[in-house]
Amino acid sequence: MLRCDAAVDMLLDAHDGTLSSQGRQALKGHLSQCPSCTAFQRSYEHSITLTAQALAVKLPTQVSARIYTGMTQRFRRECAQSPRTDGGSRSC
Amino acid sequence: MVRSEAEAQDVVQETFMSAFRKLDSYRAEAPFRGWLFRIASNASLMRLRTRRRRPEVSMVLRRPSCSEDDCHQRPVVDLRPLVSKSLEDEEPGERLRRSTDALPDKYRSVLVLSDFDHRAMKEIEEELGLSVSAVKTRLHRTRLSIRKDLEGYLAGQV
Repeated sequence: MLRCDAAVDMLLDAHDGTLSSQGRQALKGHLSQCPSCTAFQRSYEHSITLTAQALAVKLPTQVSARIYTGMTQRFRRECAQSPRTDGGSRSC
Repeated sequence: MVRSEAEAQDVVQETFMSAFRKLDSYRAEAPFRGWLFRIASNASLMRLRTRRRRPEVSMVLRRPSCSEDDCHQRPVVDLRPLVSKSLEDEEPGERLRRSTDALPDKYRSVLVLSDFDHRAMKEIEEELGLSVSAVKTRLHRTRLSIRKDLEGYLAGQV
């Protein structure tokens, strides 16, 4: 019988779908007899969902504005430094 | 990924400037969003590599403690109550962001690429120059650490 710590170490591959069929069988067998590991697996999956949610922070409006201003300045600076190859006026 | 708002702004600027310069190399059959995200994560990783190293924090493997014949010496806390909430402005979301911010760079970058950007293991392996097993080990440690923090948060709330 699989130990709980070994079962916990299979959760990453189980989540990614890369666990071997033998591993899947062993984990399934263990979970069917271990309510704590079943609860642990559920909380492991929930923590992945929560991490993705927490990291997806909306960009504050003022940050977008600062990025836009900074980009415009950089673009103008780079454009001014770039050599003119056709002798004409810069399009940027 | 870079943690600081000022650095993140620089990364976004670098990303758009770089995308503009590389637009010729963009193949229309690939999703534009993915192409742009790849440039952004490369710019972020480049910053992480070049900046002064943060003091190393030990990442203990936070599995449930097991004795020889027993395991789960404490009950597992159900995280479901948090899933139904919007984490954007809520306290648990803030707590979770603090937890991820406190992670060492090498763990945080794996977490962001995998669980936020949803990159495949193979891609993360190539991007970070690590073996698949090293990526998996870091990701597993990080997920267990975050799970434990959330459990602690909820247990403290009850």
